[in-house]
Amino acid sequence: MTTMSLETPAPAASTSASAGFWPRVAYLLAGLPLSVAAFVVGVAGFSLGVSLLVVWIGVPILAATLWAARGLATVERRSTERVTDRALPPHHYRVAVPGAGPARVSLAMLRDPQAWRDLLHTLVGFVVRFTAAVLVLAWGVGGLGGLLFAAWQWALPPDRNGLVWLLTGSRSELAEIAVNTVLGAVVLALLPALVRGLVALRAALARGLLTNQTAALRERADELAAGRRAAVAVEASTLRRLERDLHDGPQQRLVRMTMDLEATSRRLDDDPGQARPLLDGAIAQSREALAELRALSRGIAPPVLADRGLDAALGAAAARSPIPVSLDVAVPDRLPPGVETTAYFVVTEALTNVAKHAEASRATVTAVVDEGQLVVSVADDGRGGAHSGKGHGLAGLGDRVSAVDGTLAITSPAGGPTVVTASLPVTEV
Amino acid sequence: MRVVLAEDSVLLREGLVRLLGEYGAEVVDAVGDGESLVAAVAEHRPDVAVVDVRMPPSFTDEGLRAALRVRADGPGTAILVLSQYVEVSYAADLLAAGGGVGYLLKDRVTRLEDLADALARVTAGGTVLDPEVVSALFARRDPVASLSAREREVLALVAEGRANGAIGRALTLSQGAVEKHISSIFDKLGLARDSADDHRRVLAVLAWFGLGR
Repeated sequence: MTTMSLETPAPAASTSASAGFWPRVAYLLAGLPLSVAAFVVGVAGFSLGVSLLVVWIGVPILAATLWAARGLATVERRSTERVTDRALPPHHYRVAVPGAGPARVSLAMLRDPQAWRDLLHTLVGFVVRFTAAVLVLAWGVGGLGGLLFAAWQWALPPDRNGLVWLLTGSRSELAEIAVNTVLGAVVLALLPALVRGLVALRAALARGLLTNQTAALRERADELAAGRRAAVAVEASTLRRLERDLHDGPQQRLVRMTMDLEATSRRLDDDPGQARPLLDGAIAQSREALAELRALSRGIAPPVLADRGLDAALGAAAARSPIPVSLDVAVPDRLPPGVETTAYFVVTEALTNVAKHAEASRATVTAVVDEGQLVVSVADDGRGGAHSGKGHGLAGLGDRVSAVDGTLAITSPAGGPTVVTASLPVTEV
Repeated sequence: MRVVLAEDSVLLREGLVRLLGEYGAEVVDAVGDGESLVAAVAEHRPDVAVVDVRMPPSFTDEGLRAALRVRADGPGTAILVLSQYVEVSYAADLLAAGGGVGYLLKDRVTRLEDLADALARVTAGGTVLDPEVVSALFARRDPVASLSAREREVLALVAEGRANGAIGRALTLSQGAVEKHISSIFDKLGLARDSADDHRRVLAVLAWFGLGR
């Protein structure tokens, strides 16, 4: 949900890690068209948007301009990271609440400080990038021209005033060639240093305007706090549900069983023939109570999950499902317990929903670990229309998943199919 | 004895109907939520309403609140509240409604004679309080400093709503001994001892426990 990059900056490899000379030159030269495009979009969009702000159309124009600036900022960040071969500090954009209308998305865009910094970068960046590109171009061409002076000096008019004449007043072709060649060589020798410096300048500008570490970290802290709140909420609601299940299930049955046994005992005194059906009833209650307790304890912490891991537990869950489930599980033997449990509950809850609501004929469960994320998904061929509204099992799943810092995605168009996917970081938070 | 039963679990409703039938009570209506209880009592005017605390739609103290409304609507119906677990604060609400009330764990009424005893006492205008509530009270404010062990036993039974005769039978004491213990307890706790009314005796004890009003 949040657009953000938070990878730790790669350690600055001093020697060979950063890109070579030519990629840098390419980077600087590409800055020329890029900066012009950004400048035009930024200035035109901003002035148009601001001047039309009194009529409502200015707002979407400004938002679109900021959106374009954001895209250009992304390009600048990526190319800068590639050429310097180190990650920039993190950046963060505010996000409109999911499902907000275009008007609210526009307003959220206008309220985001980073969006305005992106726009500022189209202006300031124009000067820096344009100048850098022109400078590197002129420097390179100038140096090359000097170095190769001997090769093209014949094309010059013979009575021109050369560099040596300017300095000494004497005309000497040989001296002209020597001075220009040496000068060209010096200029070319300095070119890599200049390129390096200009790349550093442009990177510094990107770091200054296009990253906002504090906001990104604050956002991250907010996310973690929300995850913790979700964990607490999940625990509270789990305990409540557990109490409710105990109250409505085994407790009732045991009370009833006690009643039946007391009655049996009275019948044995006065009418032993009547004791038999009561006793049968009591036995039935006892069986039911045991079955309910078994289901409950599995719901709290499925033993197979603790003993054998996710693969085996998902197999067992699939086998219990009333509709056919095909499994595609490729996960390590053991994962962190919190991740295993959450993944297991996502799958069981989703399968329960499929059986209850989806009118599906089959379901597919997949679980893979990819780039440090355990991705579990449950797909069915049912009628769709599932949503994570309050009071639905899927909302509780969302809390469970964010408690382990994961994300839950549900796609369920009317008519199906429904796919519930949870991505859970495998490293313990 | 005519009874209206409010219990949402079909399982227990059946069991209680059978038990009440065995006791000789006539279950004139058996309902599954608080609203229906209030309506059923208004319609049938039973001698006693046997009420489960937790019922739909809220599944919290629905039954208790319905029972209090029943009592407010017409004091003629005794109330016996049953629950899977007992809460002192629920007991306090119920006791404030006056005599002819009882609050018991469901486990207590699985025995016919216990149910019969409780029904007899509440319909006679007495108070029945589950021993669990009473021991929770003792945990709140320990009277051990001033009372002897025997006196504590007697006090617990008084708090449950027992009459002196029943206390004597429970502890195998003579009526006179019980009276002596009670007057000693009431002296030590600074409670008025003149009332013969069971419910008022309970209220006095509860007031001393800091629960009355």
